[in-house]
Amino acid sequence: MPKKLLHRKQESYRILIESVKDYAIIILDPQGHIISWNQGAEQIKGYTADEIIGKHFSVFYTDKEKTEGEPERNLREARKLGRFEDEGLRVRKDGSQFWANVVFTSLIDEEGRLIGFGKLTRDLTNRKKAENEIEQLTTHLEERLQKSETEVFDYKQALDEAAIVAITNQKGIITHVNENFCRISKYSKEELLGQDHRIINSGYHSKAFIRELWVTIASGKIWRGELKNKAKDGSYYWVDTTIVPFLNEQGKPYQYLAIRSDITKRKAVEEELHRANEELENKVRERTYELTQALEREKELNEMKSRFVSMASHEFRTPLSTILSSMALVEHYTEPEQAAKRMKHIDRIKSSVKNLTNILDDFLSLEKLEQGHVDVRSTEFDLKEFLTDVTDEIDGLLKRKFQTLHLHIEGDTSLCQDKKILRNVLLNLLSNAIKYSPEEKQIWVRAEVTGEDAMLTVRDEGMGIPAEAQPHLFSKFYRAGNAVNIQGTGLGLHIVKRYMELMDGNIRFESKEGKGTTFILEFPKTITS
Amino acid sequence: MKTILVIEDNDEIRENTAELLMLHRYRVLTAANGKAGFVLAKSSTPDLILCDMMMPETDGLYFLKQAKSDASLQHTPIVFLSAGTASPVVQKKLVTEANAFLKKPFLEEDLLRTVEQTLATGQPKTT
Repeated sequence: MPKKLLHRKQESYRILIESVKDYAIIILDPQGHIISWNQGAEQIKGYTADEIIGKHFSVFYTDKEKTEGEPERNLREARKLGRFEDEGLRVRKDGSQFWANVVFTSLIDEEGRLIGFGKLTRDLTNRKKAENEIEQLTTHLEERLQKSETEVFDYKQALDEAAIVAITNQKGIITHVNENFCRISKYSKEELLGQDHRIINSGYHSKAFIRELWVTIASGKIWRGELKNKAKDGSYYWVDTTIVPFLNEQGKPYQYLAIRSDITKRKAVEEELHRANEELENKVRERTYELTQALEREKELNEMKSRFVSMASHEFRTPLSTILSSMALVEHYTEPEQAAKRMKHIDRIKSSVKNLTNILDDFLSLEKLEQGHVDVRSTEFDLKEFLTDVTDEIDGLLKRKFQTLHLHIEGDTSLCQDKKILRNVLLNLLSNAIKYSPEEKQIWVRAEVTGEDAMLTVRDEGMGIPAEAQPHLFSKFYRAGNAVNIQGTGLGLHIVKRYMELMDGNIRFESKEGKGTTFILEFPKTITS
Repeated sequence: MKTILVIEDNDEIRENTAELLMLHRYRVLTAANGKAGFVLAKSSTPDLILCDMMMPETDGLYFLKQAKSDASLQHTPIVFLSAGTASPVVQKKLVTEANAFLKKPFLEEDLLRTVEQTLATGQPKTT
């Protein structure tokens, strides 16, 4: 390089070095004396250029280091390595010490001869101060963190002890469960971690309910409620549940903490109570129905009793009236020539007594039938003969009302049945036909025996049975509305029906009010006693 | 001689009653039901009517209604014969409109006394 150019280059470097304020850049001669001093050096070490140039650089070292030969060692290192970096304490002009970072560079000319050293010194005081502060802060922070962590751990323990805990990620995958969770769900930790939380789904809750739960927690809100879950063995348990979403910096949930307590027992009690209530209500309903039924029956019985009392009163008074009046008349006819009149009334009294007795007998028959004390006694007899006898018996009654009876018999007329019962039945039906038909009307009796069955019909042109009376016709003491003023106990047909049952037969009728009635008897030709 | 009309469906009671009354010098007419009784009453205008309550087809109540709405009969005294089984409604009506009652079975004395008293007062009950 031409001398002029080199000189300019050197001059440029010198200006550059001079102007640096933050770093102390000094040049030492090979022995360590200071031959160059910049602004930075003045700033950091406190000496002006005039004060320090020519002095040995060991003046910057502490007494201790000076005695240990540290400066010379540094130079030797620099010369050996070409570059040597060191950190240590240096001394300022005012005696104050500071921490410095020093870089020694050995300066070699073109021939390789050492012409000196370059020394770059940085004041590390600020950095050190900052480093210390950082260390302190870090320690402090660490302590606080430690404290927090301990506290959190304590809370977590308490929670784990007290409650059933599970944590799922935002997708619902289980990431943590505590002992209690495992115990109640009967799954092990391994079986639960990594599973979708739906593993404990019981299917009890509606889709809407579950959806509402997810919407709540997904939006970052806490959900509280009662859930029914299914354990590993298929059994169910109820838990009072609080689900807390943990939010990230964007406010979105990244995990859900579910805290639960076992309320299965309480739920069971509630269910039991509910069931018991329902059962009770059912029982009450049943009882009410039973009572209503009983009340109905009671009412029916009362009505029947009223009918009976009403009927009995009338039925008894009529023959009694005849007896009393006939008695009075007999007392009047004391003359011998009035014998015929006397007899007439005495006969009247007798027949009235018989009348009363018949009524009483009806009552007794009914009682016997109801107690099951009537025996069926079958005898062989001819139906034709039998019917002729019976119709003869009621001939007097027919004549009184100018009525006529027609008899028609078909088939094999030899029967083996209870003659007495059949007679009672027929007499009742015939007397009814007469009683409830106006004068001059006709009555038909028809008998048909086909195979093993016998059928008897009694038809009249009488007042007929009103529609509303028909269902009750065979009831005890029942009188049809249009028959109320006609003498009758209301027992006849009831007894007839029972008699037919004893004969293994049945009775039915067809009737139209104002037109007439037909009674149909069906019974087996043969019956054994 | 007073005329009594006896309306009663039971043959024996009707005949006996008529007989008893005749023995006590009353002229007696008889009918077996309300309708026949009314016809007979109109044509004979008796001094007293003895009428049974319970009769088939046309009963005592029917006869009462007919008689009270008839000009010639509405003042004729009526004595009802009852077996005491009439409903309270019916009984109430009878009490206001009939002159007297005779409960069956009745003694001869009671029959006569009732007849005499009713004829004597001559006061028919107002409708």
